[in-house]
Amino acid sequence: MTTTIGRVSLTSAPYNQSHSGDRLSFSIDITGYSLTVAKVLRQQLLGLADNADEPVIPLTWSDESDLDGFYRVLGVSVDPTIVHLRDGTMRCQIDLERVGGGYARPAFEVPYAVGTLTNPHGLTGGRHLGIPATTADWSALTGITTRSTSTGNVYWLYTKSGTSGELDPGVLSYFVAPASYYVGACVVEQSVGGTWYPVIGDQVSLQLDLWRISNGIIRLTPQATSPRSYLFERWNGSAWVTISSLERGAYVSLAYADQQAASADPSTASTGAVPYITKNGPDSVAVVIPQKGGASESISIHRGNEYARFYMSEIDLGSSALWMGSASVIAMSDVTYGGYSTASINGYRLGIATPVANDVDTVNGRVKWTAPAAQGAFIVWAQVHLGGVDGGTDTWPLFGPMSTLQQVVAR
Amino acid sequence: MAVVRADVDIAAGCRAVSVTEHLMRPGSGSVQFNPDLPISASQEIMALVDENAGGIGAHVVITRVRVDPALIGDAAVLAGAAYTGRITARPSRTSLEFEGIGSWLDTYNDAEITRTTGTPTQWLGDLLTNSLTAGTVSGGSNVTKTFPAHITTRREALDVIAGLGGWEYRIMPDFTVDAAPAASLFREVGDTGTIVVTRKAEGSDGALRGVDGSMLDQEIQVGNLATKAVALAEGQGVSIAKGTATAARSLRAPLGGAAAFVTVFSAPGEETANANTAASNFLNLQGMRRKVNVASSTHHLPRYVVPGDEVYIYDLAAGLYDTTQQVQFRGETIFPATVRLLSYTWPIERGVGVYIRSNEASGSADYIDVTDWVAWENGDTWWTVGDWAPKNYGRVNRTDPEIETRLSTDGQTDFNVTSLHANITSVTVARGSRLGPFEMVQIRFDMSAAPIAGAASLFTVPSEWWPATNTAARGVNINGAGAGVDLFLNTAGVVTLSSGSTAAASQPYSASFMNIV
Repeated sequence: MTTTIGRVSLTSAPYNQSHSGDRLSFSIDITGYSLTVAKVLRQQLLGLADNADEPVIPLTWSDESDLDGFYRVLGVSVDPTIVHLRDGTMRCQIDLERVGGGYARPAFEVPYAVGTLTNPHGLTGGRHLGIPATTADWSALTGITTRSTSTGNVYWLYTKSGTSGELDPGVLSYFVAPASYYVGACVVEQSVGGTWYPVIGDQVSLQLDLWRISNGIIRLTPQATSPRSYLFERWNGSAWVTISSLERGAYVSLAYADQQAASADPSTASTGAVPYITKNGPDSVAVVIPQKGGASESISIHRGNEYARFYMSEIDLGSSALWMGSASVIAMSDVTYGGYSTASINGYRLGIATPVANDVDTVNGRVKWTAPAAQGAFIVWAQVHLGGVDGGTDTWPLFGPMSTLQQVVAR
Repeated sequence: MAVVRADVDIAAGCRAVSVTEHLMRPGSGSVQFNPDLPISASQEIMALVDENAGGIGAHVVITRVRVDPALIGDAAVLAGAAYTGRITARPSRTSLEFEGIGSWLDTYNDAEITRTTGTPTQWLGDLLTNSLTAGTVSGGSNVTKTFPAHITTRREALDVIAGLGGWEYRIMPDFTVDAAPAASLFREVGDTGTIVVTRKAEGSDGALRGVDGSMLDQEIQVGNLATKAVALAEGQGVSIAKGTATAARSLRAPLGGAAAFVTVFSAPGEETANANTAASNFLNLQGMRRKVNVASSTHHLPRYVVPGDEVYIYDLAAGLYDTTQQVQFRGETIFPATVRLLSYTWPIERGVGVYIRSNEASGSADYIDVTDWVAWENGDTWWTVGDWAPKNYGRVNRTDPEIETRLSTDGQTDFNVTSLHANITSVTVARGSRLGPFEMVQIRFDMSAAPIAGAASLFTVPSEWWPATNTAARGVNINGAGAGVDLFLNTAGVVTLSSGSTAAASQPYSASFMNIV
């Protein structure tokens, strides 16, 4: 028996239910878990309230589908830890209000804005949005790309015909069942006691062993050991396969230094580099990792995309330049916007692109920012694209500097 | 000269203990005290405010943190103050109302103010009064302008000169006025400390500072869309000079087709040559008005931003974005629109210092510390941001048409006679208003002891009075002379005495000129 409230998944049932018009209140217990896990679940439940990135959440209960639907969270209260120490249980009280416009399937609107980042490569970028492919209303349409994610398929919609120029911002609407809401959703996860739990809201537990972000297609996990890199993985339809360990470093004195440009290890809380989450919604997530001296590195991903965007700002490099590349040797082809691997890696190709002038180390697989600067900002995309050995730019339709900002609201 | 009032709406939600500040407008505010405000304090305030009992007036000074004016001195308090307001009313023992100190310039000019190619510093010297002085001044171009007496207030004149010179001004709490082009005087987007307003409570990211903006929405006014503006410039009746300007609007008539809204305004002081410009400037204000109202809970916003600064504002749902502008903020690429903060209303929150300062010389002013009894306000700061900027007005004066007409300042150039004959001791000119197609000028000229023989050139009139052909029948008459004395006016504007006649000595003569406009 499973109750899911947003991304929280509990094995207990809601009780003391009270229905009043569109309002629903109930109690539910965090029971049968160790204290460590109970704390994580507690954080997840508390994160449901006042969550600007997820104002509406789905609720499902395997034993009774009457409760299934989308709700606004009016309030959450959870017993303190001492109650778990005494009783082995934390009680939680949740107040919800059903979203209007449909008993279980309100219309979701995704307002989006897409622009082409100024770049010297003449790239115009792609304009795709991802929505769960279980939306029945789309099934009759043809010519829509479907992508497989670890949580189900997503439709990968091209939001404007034509390939050049700016995209007019618009609004996309779709319906989806509560159980399918998080298909292909972006998620920030933290590992506690060896198990991965999604973070809800922006409160990351300080007990985490490790953290990662994922959208079901690509996954980035900071490595706990040196060199300080991100494990870049890709979902191949049935399993996660490793593509590369992505490193960032400073190019100093004509050499690629292995060390990361900043000192903080992003993987562990002990060094104070716990990421802080600036956006955590099913359509996109963004985390920022503080670095030394006021610098920061941010990573963001969007639903349906197979690339992650890194943004390193205020990095003090002195006279060196930033680079990103593979920790292991991967031969790359040099294109104006970066480089892509020439050989197939588990059926995929790794690409690294940047909207600034760059040099490519074609032997080892690194993209370096050409012009160093003492204080600068470096945007780079790391993409894992399905393709064989041959490719060329046709294989990289999205490899352009582009950003979308999607918000999901329910009507 | 037309009347154009700035359409700066006071932000909604004004409350009892708050301050409203505008870009280049005085603003206002009010403060309430708890009932336990000591009677000694309220009596001291009353003594300052009571005009009939010799009250010299006072200001409300708000500092960012509580300070001791006796310890740090008057000059330091004012230099570091967040706000200074001129007390204008005492509604009750425990409340005060005040206006921005820009209102010290709401006095009409009592004498003519004129300058040729005056620098901003010179104009500030001419126009500032009532203890306001120029502060930091830089940039801007020189302006030639004459303000006849009693035609405009000092502040309105300052707006005109600033508009003509391409600069803006900011009145500081220490009674100095800083002036510079807007880009130097205020923060532009991209400068350090640029504010980014989004729906989420955000912190800083590099040089950008996030501010939470709840109830973020934009207000669009499309009820005043004029497609053509007609300026009624100088002149009267059928001779009135009209300037026109048209604008293409997207608006359609109900069943399709072009919409037509013609608006007319009065600018009796505008010269004919400027009539089209005046119409064009007026029409610029008759387009769509866009204003964004934001409520922000960020504490004491004046620390970070002042009216006049540009801010980034981003909200997809409200339509506030600009896809050509990409900004990296908090791990995402956003597409904010750039708007200018026009005004805000901020609550007087616990933590600031509130004082009453008597109107006395720097260093001699008395401060009454009323901080302990202020009924603090908790709440949001209401902003208004929009597209309006003073420079959007272009060249229009800010005077009342009725005053202009009564003062007969109808944009005509002075009737300056030149090249006076040596025997003429003085010339007095009296101009009449236009009467239909006619314009009349009368001149009195006084003679010295020596008479003037005929065919002598007496004086030259301004070029717009030069006739196309030599003719005495241009309406030039001479009075006070005997028979046979006539005046001729030639095509070079020279007035001569008729040949064979004599203008007697020691006499006043008058001549009248009539121009057909």
